[in-house]
Amino acid sequence: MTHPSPTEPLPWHDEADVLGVRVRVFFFDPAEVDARAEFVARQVPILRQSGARLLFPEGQRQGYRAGLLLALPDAVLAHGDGLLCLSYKGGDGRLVEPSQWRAQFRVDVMLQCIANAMAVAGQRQQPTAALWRGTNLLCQFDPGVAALECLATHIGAARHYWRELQSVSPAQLAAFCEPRLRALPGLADSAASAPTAAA
Amino acid sequence: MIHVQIASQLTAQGVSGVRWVLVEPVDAPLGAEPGAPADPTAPPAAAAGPAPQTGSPAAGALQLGALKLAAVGLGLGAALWTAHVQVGPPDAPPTAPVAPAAPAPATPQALPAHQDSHGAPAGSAPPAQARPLPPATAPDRPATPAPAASGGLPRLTASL
Repeated sequence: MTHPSPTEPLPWHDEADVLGVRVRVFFFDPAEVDARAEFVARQVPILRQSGARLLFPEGQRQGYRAGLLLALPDAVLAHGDGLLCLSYKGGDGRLVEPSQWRAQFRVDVMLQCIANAMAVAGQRQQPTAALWRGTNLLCQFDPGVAALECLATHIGAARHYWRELQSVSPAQLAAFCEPRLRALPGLADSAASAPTAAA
Repeated sequence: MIHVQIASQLTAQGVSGVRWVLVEPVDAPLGAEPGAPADPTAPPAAAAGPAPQTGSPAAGALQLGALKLAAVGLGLGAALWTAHVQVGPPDAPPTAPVAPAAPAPATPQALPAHQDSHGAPAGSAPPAQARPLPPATAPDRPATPAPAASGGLPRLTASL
């Protein structure tokens, strides 16, 4: 496997628009990557040998809050002048076929990752990238204006909907916003190839 | 407002291409005392703690049920009071109404105008209706009505 120089773009294998979010995917061999000792090389294989480092020891989760949104991401890494908000404990644990990843893509996981990154960015006041690491692929989510505004403006409504007193979780916010995003004009086409969850 | 920046690009050196959005800050939580400061670094366990009793849905449902019960009780009491005033106690005999006045006998003005010297109509006997009937043959209208049979319907109108 070749590694890009710091100035080169990262070698994403594919990308697509899903519900107003630009999704970039990187496939890897889980048997090889899971055997790595270093956290970044194992959980963010596309950034192997980069300067990313964990803010807290592995396995120690820290809560982040932005307004009423309270997130508990799996890991937060410092990367350059920004942060990486990584989720790797979600999903169904299935291998994703590189040619079928759009059909197997889970929108709810994507929106949860973006909500996690929003909470981290709001509390730390640093630009934060949303990442999800599946069994054999790594995704980076680049939300568009519609998706970002939908999530940001429905935090209070989601809290009332779920009858939470203090805060709303990224999973609750994602579940509340997904049908609203699907109803937005112009985004339904990109959502047609991305079902909510694989059966 | 809380400034939230999401990186749109990821490079080997860092992140770039920031997209930003504003998120509303924490307002007063439901059921919390006004003026209580929101702790942004509170652990999740504290955030997910038990709900205060004042704002819990169970307390609201209990209050609503008690309110409904009170409304039904007030309505039932008003209905019973009205029936007691209008009819009387349930086990007491109904109020005896005053008998209506017996119909007056036919007046002489109703008789034919031709009368003989004795005052009787000419050529015909006076009609039976014109004579006052003896008490035995008077219409069966007792001065006081018979007591109502047990289970009879109570009168809902009062006599004046």
